[in-house]
Amino acid sequence: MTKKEKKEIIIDPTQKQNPVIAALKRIFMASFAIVVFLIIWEVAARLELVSVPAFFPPVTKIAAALADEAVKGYLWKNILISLRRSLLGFGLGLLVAIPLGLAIGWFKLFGDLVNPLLQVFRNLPTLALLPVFVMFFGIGELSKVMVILWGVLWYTLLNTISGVRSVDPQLIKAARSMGTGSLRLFGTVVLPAALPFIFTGMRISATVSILILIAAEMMGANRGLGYAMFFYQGNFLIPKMFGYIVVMAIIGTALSFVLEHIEKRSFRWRDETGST
Amino acid sequence: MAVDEGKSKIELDRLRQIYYIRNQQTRGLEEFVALEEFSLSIREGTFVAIVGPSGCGKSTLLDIIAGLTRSKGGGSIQIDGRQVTGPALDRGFIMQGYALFPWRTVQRNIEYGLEVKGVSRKERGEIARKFIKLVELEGFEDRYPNELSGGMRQRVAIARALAYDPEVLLMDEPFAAVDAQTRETMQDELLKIQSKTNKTVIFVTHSIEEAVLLADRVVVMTPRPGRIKQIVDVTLPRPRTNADMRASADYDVIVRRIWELLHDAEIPGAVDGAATGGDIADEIVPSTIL
Repeated sequence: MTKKEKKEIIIDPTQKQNPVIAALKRIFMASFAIVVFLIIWEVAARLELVSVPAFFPPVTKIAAALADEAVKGYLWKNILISLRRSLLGFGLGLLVAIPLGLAIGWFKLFGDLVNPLLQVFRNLPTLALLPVFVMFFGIGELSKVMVILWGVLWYTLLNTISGVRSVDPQLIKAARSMGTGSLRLFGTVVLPAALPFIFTGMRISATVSILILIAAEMMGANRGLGYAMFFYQGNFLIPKMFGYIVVMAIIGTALSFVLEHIEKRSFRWRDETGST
Repeated sequence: MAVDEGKSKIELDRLRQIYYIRNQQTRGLEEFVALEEFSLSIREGTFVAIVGPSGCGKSTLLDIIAGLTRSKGGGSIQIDGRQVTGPALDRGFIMQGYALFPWRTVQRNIEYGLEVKGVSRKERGEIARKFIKLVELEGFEDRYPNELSGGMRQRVAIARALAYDPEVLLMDEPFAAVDAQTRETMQDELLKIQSKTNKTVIFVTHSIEEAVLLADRVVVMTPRPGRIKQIVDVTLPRPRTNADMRASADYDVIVRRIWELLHDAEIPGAVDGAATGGDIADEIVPSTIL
């Protein structure tokens, strides 16, 4: 009996393949479309197939411009300052979103009372609030961090709420049948059950923190990736402008890749079908 | 009705459960009686099975005994003479859907009740390993529930309930979700476990065969409101197994008797209690009823 059932255990299918071949295959699959796109771009730009060639530099020129920025050190300074803003806004956003989300999800009355206001706030476009943030927090670092905080808040908050609310009632019943009190129930059942939802929210928030950065850096910044992009556009240094766009794309992609990976690793107990 | 001799473990006294349902036409609240006048006295170490049609309040009854629901229509539950006021570790509850914590490994699931009980980490580990051995899951300590088959999950659920050493096991159709073959194995294992641990068990099931195989007494209930129709004593010798029962004529007679008790409640015009074990066989034509 036991022997028969042991066969039903799911074995990780990736274990069987040759790891080198598997890795190469994955890299090829992941980069194919991007490489083709870059080649088409390069050829189209070299052949000057667009009306204003100056606005459409070839990929190699963009890479050279970026290398120039890197050598001069501007690139790293801009990345650093931007990441600091994003991380600060993201971190503070989590500090607000997670406890608030847990409270709203767990205390039904509190949730019902607060929800209408949340719906109104959530549907305000962050960009529409830029002038308000400038008025309240000036044009320094604070207002940039606050804009990011605001934009990031909702994804984690709403996911945390739905995580707490979607805890399987059978699990609560099981825990309660063992005499579990409210505090322990929250810590040992509600929180772990909500954790994957919270993490998904955090992952989206982290990506959004990079996206919103650009908007934040439109407000009187004099450093940062978004600032540099606008600066070079204004000065018709188009390859450099594209260079910074590429850097932002790389940072955003890398971030969500890493976070997705951590998410998969941390929640081995979840069904494949259950993960969002 | 059989009267218990000896030490009574559980005393259920006139339990009544009512729900209020909103009538779609009149918009008024209507009383729905799920459980009526349910009194039962269970001796220590007895295995009681409860069978009845769907909606007869079997699961409600278990929830009330577990302390998860209050009986709104009155009545009382005593275990060892103590009044039951809420859930506690003197009762272990095993549900149909296993309800294992998916983020905990097998071992940590089994330790859950012990954590609530305040047992030290070291001791928890020892106890959990003992019960992992009892339900034959050695080697699966560090697996998560989603890596186990249905039968294995149910064994974890049983081990989890046994680990904190409750005096009473409440089982709500625990084997309904596993396949027929696994169910038979689980039944045989439950019989073994019960003979080793001598727990008092209240076991709710849809299956008459399962009830007769496992129980010392089978409580047959009526549909809406759920009342005790009759209690059938199962005097078959122990230890029992599925294989023994297949060969036992007495087993068939008891199964048939309970089947008849259950079904004349559903057939309009059937004569209540007219037939006895011997002569009903000719009258039973399952296809006309099912």
